[in-house]
Amino acid sequence: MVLLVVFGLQQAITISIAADGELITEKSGVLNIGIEGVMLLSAFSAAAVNFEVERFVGPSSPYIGLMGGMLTGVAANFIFSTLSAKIHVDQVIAGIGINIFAVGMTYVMSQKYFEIDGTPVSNSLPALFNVGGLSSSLTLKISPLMLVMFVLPFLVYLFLGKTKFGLHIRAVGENPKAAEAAGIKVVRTRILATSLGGALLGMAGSYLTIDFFNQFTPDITAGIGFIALAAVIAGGWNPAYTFGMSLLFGTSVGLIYVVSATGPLFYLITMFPYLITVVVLGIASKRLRPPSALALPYRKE
Amino acid sequence: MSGIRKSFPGVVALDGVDIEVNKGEVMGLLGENGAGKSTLMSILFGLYNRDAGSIEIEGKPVTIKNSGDAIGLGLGMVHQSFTLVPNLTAMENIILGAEPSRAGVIDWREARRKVTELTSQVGLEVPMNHQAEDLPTGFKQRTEILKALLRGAKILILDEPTAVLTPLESEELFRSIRRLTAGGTTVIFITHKLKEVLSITNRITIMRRGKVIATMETKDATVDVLANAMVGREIERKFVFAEYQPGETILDIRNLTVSALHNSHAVDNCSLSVREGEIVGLAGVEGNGQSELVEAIMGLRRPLSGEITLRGKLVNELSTSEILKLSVGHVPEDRALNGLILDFSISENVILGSANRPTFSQRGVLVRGKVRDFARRVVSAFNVSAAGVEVKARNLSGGNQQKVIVGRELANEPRLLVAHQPTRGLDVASTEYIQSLLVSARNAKRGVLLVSADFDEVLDLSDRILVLYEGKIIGELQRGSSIGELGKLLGGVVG
Repeated sequence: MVLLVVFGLQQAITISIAADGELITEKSGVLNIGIEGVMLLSAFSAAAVNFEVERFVGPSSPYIGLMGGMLTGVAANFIFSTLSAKIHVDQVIAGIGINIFAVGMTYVMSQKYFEIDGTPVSNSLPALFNVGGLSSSLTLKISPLMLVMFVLPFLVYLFLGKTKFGLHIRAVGENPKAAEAAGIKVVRTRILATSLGGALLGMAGSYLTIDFFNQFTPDITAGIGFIALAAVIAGGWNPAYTFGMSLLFGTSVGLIYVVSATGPLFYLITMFPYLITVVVLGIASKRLRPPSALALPYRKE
Repeated sequence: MSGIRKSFPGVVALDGVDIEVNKGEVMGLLGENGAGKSTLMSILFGLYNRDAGSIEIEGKPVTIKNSGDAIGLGLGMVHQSFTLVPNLTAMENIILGAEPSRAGVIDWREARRKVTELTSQVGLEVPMNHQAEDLPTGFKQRTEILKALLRGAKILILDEPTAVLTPLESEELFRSIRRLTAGGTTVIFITHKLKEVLSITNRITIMRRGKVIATMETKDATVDVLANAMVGREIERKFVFAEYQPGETILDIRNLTVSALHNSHAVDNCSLSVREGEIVGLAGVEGNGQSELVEAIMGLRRPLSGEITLRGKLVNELSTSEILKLSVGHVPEDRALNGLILDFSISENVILGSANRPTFSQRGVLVRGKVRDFARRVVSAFNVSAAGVEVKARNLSGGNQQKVIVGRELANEPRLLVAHQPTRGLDVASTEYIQSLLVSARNAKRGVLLVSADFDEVLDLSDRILVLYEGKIIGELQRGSSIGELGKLLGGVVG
């Protein structure tokens, strides 16, 4: 049981941080279906930045990789939101485009960089502290990003609720026309919000390579991005509920590592997180109210 | 503020308009739909660009490129459809875009202080912590006004402010307006309601078809003068009407009440009937319940109470397709939205709703040849000018689109035709043609319910005219009634 909690929390880190990023983005009216692809690109960048720094400069810090991943997230989301908010590219299509691009791009690049799949990243994030003696010889690391995971929803809540920019984000996501009439620059607000969210997506993606797996493998995100997307929706675009949903989904992913099963049962267990996502989403989606202008382009008249 | 002049050519033209508003007065801008009132004010507020003309405020020429400029110059506008963010509180909406803040964090105490000061000054109380969407309409409007005032509006433009208010709310609004002007604020009050304009304004400017017809002191104005000036009369159109011999009743509506989106009664206890061989004109300025009434007849909106009987059959609970089967044709209000599928071809559009008929499909598969034949018949019978029947509806002019719709409906030889704004936005030739189709439908003993905000059209075509005002039928006129009589009723003046 303790094992499940710890593994669940570890899994929830990616989901929750990504969900926080997506939440900010969606609150501004931009639906980033490309969340999975952005995370994948960031995961790759984090590993690649580490790799390059080590090759040319010397021992790298995992925090440099993390920065690289986050910058990639910002850049990817900036491009995405510029396409959708400014040039009015359909958000769903642009998002799917990013996802497909990311899978192919990172696969090819990882062949080039790491020659084979999965050269380990030589140093990962140092643990805040380790939890030992849980079972036999297993020691579990508590990542600094786990701290971030716990603090972030509260920060997002304060940001959206108490700051000027947060209020503007909510306004452009609900009624861009009204926001414009109040003198708020809709397109700029959306691009900034999405880019900010991108930093968090980048952090979430990087966690996978510089911490959890300690290596990049193709398709390392394995649908986690979509689960984060589901957490935002099932959490009703509320930071606290989204966090709760992330924990639930994270725990269901963690189950894979805790339950050692073979044969058909193994596949069932592996399927479990996706299944529970679908079920929760199905139940939750009935009473939810997304930001009114979500996924709708805004054109000034 | 003096000497505004602008003109811009196109469909909705403002043809060299001059208006003057004096400081601290309430200036009424009166006119029917499409007269150019809102367009004029939208230009003033920087929402549209003008083609020519100039604007001066307090004697100084000003450039207004966007609403930001306008706000900076002390203008504020409250639109007919509110620009509030539904799930933000009233307070958040009021300060939105002008938040007092320290290092990016909103200073709520300062915000509350400012807003409270403002509300006590002008007497507009709003429950500040409620979400905007939960506020009653009157409070939403107050929120809008406060929003403008907080940004330092000295000239407040109110676009049809009472259109959405109950009489009581209107009274309260008027009290606030008086208080505002006493404090030196100038108010431009856009309306088509004669009584209101007489009771609240100091001066009245009347617009018609993009021009200023008259400007007068309110104390010199009477209902009759205003009604004539507002509605006017320009071209006489002649249609050949067969002798008026109405047959049996096709549509009978008794005590119908229909709700609008937000629990108010859009249609309030209306009764009317349409018989064979007559055109019944349902006149009214837009937004007085016409849309809801038509939707109720067509089964698109469930009535709250009352009875709708079509050819002897109670249809309150029937679906739209069942109602259409009772031989009803419907020309919807918005041809691009509800009348046609713009990306479908003409031939696909003319069989919308009747694609299941054995003539058009066999075992669920469309018989293209027959569909095309039918489409060609519609196109030639109703003078649609198009390169062929496979042309997309989107590529037709408005007039031709409307001919396709009217043609489709009439080709089915309906006993009742409900035509809602059938000529809105059309050029003169198409308008006359569509109108002549309605007249020949009447002469062919069909019943026509003509719902229109074009008062010339209603007067020209209708055998009987019912006037809808705030959801109620407030009067009935016979053919040959004068424009003045209609104008008064349209402005809500009975008798």
